Amino acid sequence: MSFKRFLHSNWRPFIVVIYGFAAFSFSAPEEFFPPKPFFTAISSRALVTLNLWQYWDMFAPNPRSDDVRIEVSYEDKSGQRFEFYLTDMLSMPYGERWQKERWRKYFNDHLRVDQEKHLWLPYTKFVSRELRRQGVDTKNISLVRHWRPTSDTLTPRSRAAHNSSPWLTYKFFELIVDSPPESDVP
Amino acid sequence: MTKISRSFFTAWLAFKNWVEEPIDPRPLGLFRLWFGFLALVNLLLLWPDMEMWFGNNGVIPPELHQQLTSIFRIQIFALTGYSDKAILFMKILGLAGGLGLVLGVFPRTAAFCMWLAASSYAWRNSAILHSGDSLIRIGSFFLIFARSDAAFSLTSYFRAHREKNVLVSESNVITAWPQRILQLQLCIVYLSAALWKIKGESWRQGTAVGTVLQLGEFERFPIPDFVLTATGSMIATYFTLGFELLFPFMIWIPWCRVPFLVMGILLHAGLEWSLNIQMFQWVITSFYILFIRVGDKSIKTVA
Repeated sequence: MSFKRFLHSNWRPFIVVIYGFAAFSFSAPEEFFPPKPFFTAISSRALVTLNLWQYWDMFAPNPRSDDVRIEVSYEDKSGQRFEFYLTDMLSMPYGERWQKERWRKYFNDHLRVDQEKHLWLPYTKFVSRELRRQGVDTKNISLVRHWRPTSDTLTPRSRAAHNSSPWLTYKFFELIVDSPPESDVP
Repeated sequence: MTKISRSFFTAWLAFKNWVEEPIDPRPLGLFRLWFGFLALVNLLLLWPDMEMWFGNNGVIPPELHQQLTSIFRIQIFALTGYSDKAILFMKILGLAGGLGLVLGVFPRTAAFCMWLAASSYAWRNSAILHSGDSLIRIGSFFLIFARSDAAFSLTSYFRAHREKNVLVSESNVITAWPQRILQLQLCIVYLSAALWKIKGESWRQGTAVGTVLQLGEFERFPIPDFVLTATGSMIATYFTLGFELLFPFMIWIPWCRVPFLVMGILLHAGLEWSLNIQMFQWVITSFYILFIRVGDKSIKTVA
């Protein structure tokens, strides 16, 4: 049997094998799969182009040990200050909490961290535009992170400790709105 | 031919047979239906915030997004450019795809629509994605190549009605390979997840689940007190790790299959109850359908 004919009659098992290796090498840690760089170099472009890229590192290698809330604080033109939480998940009813899980993902896991500071200015500009749409002109808008380290000693009360144990607070970004915010991007 | 090459050839033929053999269409048909429904729910949960996440006036403006993306991906924005019309297309494609998958009407086209919609929003804002989104993208992609309407679909219902046919007949079996890839995909999910967890000290020490359960941002329904103890956390942590590590291997052993599927359902039901994580537990357990066949009297497994 020629190789061409062999390939022709075996394309399905080849696809299964190739995809299996490609997907596993893309998603597995290199420590446990040393040929990862080789397979990834060959296959990652195809996986990304076809949107088959994947990461399965949920709560790994270690889950975050700080509980987090993100707050927006703004001052309107009259000098009055207002605050609202983006991700105080526990204050939301169950349905809203479930629907807004992506908010937690975006604000707590991405907007919060210094490595993704490129998200801060666009987000405060977004808030500025939204408030302006509601008729509120702002002088400044701040992003504030609140966090509470979890306890090393786990007890049945640990889960409710977010109400009692102290939260740490840090204002990590401020937008001074000296002119009306940009109108909609064309 | 040497002994080694003969053994390899025999193994390859067995593998080829496993990939190409005709199989019962019901697991894939039921998977398509339930998976389509979940993909639809996922879309509807995303619906109210789509302008904020993906719009030109949203949280990631086009000029910033351009800096964040490099490799080309097939998605709607490649056709529309940075336009809010793309959001409308995503909604239409997602709705059509989800409904098509649920009903089993033009399921390959429906799977393509769902894949394109999910791929598009994944490209436009990857910071909001959960693992369920990845499974929806990948599952939809391989459903494009599957004949998934041979059971549990309007098409199969009308055909059976017309032909007075039994549900599974010789003319109504399907090729296994898309289902095999989806089965392997589930194993890859668990194995990769387990290997990442093994790297972490908290998973090795048995404290990881206890840490997660203390995070108010994930809190959902109340859980028994014994889970919130060092021993409870250790049991839950090692059970999760052990299950994820063993599932990809044990699921192929016929007598282990049902116990592992049941353990998986219990694990994900526990996670769904205790943690506020959108859709993932539902989507991943939908892949379990690909491993089972509901027989007349007992659950039989297919692989």
